[in-house]
Amino acid sequence: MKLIYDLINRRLDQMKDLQLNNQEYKGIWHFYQVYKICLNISGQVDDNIKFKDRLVIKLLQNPNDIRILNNLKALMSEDSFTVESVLTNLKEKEELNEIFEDFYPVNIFGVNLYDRGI
Amino acid sequence: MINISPIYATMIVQKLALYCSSYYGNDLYYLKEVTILMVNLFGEETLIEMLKKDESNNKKVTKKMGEEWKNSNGMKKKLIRISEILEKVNKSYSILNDKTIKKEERESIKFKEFSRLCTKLPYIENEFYALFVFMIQNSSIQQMNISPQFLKVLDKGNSFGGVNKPTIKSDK
Repeated sequence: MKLIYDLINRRLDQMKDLQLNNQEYKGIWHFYQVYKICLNISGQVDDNIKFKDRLVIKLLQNPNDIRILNNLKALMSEDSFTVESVLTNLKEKEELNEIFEDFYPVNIFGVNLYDRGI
Repeated sequence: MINISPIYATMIVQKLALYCSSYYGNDLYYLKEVTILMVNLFGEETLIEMLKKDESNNKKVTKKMGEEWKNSNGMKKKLIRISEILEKVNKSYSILNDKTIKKEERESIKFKEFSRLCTKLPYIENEFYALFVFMIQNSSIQQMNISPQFLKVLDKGNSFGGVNKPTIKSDK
């Protein structure tokens, strides 16, 4: 599950970048994409996910609406436990310490695609 | 476990990088591309059998998905509906990002259309993500990682995921 772990971290990185660039509303979109993937890894069910999705869309359409932003931030702080626990489990399970070493093109057979001119 | 050839694996990772770098429905368009490509690589019948036999944490969702795959409200039909929505979203998003069209024109005509389409995104069911996670878990691609070189660098020189792409200066 290295790929999923990497994907989650990349999106969370972007969320942080967007927060730093005062584009928190876009960052929330990234968070909820990660959250939905995490729900399916852990097998958890969130009955309010559609409600949250609608709120995220509303926020993207009205980025200056502080009320929606604060609502979502409150929801995010609860949901971030799910994301954290999935990340921790993935890391423990597969010893993913080397994941961010960029040795692309990586392939599953250990062949360097650059050497093959691909 | 399904083995995915290096060529397809590279394509999938590139699309996933675009999924990571985009947002507001355009990202889902790339996720949809990956999901459909992987369904074809698995083979529909093999995938259905694998879904039915799944023993992962998410087996409640995946087993049901496998059993109802070909039903009128099954995942096969849902994927078609999701594709239709996301194709339109991607088209509108491309026009909004097209710098050759005047800004006012882009915003007045297309943003409303784009916004309208995006309100449909919450109807993309959770099963879509479940299917994606399942196929990654059950293929050789799970051992790969996403290279920063594939992450899309957005406008105004903003970089994401730690990527800084050099810009080429024009002679003019």
